[in-house]
Amino acid sequence: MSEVFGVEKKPFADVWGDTVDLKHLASAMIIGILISLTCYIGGLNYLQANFPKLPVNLMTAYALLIGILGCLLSAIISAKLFKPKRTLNEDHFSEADRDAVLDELNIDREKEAEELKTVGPKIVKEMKDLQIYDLFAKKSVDHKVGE
Amino acid sequence: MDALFFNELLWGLGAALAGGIIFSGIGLISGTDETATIAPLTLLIILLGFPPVAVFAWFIAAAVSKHMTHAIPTALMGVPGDTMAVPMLQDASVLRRLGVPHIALRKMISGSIIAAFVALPISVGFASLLAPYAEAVKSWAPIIFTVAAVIIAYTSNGRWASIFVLIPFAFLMQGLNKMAIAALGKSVFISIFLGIAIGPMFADLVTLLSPVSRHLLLRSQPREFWLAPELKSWKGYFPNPLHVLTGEQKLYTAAAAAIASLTFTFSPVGMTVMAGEIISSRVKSLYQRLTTSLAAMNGVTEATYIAETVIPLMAFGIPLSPMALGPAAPLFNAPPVFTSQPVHNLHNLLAPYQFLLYGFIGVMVASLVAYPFSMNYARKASVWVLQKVSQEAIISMFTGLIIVLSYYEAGVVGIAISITIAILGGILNRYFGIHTGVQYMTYYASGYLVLTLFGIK
Repeated sequence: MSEVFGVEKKPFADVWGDTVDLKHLASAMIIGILISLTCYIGGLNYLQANFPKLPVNLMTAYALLIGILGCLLSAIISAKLFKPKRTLNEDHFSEADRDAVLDELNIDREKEAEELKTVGPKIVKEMKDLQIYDLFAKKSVDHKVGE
Repeated sequence: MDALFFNELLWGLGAALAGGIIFSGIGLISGTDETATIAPLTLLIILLGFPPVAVFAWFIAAAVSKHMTHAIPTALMGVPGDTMAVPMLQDASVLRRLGVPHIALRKMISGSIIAAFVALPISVGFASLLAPYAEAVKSWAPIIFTVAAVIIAYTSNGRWASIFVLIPFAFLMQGLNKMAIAALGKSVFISIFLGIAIGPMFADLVTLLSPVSRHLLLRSQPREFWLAPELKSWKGYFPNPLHVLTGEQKLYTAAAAAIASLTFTFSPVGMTVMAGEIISSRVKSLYQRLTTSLAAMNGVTEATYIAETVIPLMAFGIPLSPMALGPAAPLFNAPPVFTSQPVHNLHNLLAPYQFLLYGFIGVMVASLVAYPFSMNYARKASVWVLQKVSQEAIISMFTGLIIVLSYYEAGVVGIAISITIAILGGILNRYFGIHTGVQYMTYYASGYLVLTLFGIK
């Protein structure tokens, strides 16, 4: 855990669709470039020195494989060094929530209850197993928004 | 002959298994771009000299598996797995809020399995019908690319901006290519292609480096994710996709997949939205409607993955669809092994029955690897990715990947070219809606455009 003085904010930013710490990002990119390029060039030199009879295109292709393994290695190292900047929350559901969702979506309860009668037995069974059948089956007359 | 066939079969199975396993994992990471992940690794196995049948089986298994595990973030977290998942977010989110996100996931991936099995034979059949026109299409290829570039540009979010930028961008790419020729005596493809793919990331980096624009991307706190609780409701490890969908759902999915397979040049996202709309207007009752349209929409994206790859590849050998310009690009063009002008790639190297057989192997393997995996471990795997795999690690890997691949192709000149393209293309993409498809098509048209307009050969 790094110690932060005062109220200094961490420089978070969205890059390529997710949140990063900018200092971590800079280090991670340097790690990525150094490790993978070293793997590729080192691999190529090793192959040239030890397997001089290998055809050139295969030699560079094998070196590329080593380089890509280097990319993977740099991902593993960066993942160990820099933890994700995400908070994970659990969704919870209750009967009242489901009712609220339907209200929020402006679902026509009367129409739904009518349409539910046309639904085949397999879907009905699915809905009953999931305990959402009653949610749609009840008429708006019986429907009371409870806690 | 039999020994040769057996040998190829083993290669195909092995490559499909590898592609299936690797991309089942990559698919879990939400937002990973199809092109930036599938294309480089496919390029690698081509350069390593995998036999053509193995390359094809690998690709199909990889694309189908990634598509399947990509449904996990879409259904469980409301975060699009990839660009094609965006049209499904809304329906998936309603089911998630009703507390049944696992049902959304099951319907989606079961739909995609059925669609994959439907789309493959239809694509192969349709490609055989189009094959007689192949010679004509090939000789008109540069003009077709140019017309396609204009059409794709017009239909992109950038619309007139995309059309306006078309010629300057073509000029830039050919200019950079001439630099590569001056430096190394050969033109480059990988560096330009990867530059376009990774562009949006570089646009973000430049935005952050400038004090003027930095505020656009700065955040004060970590990103929040909401994850649905676990609910398993079948026994054993292998669920049966045919039991997950009702008869009507199977029918809609198969029909949507079949139609989507025939429209290989259109935008996959557009097709998906359309399938969703049509089904929503026909199917009654909320739960039934949402589950049916999700199964069919995910089926459509799956079918477009397959059809957009197989049809142009098998019929023409030149990349004439969004998929062929993106993730599947190395199957068309992976110099020095494959080239599309002149055509020397899987188009010439595979017989129609091989497209069918090794395509099926790819789909089969994906169904045996990615499908049960997504059904059983969806939640555990997403938690693991969210808690262990930081965005920094992903960017570290992609930075390494682009540097190594472009260095492999053209040394430091290659790196310079791909970063130049990445910065400019990325900015055009992020801020002006000129998406990667427009840029790839412009690349394919650029040689002809520059020759015709400026006389530069």
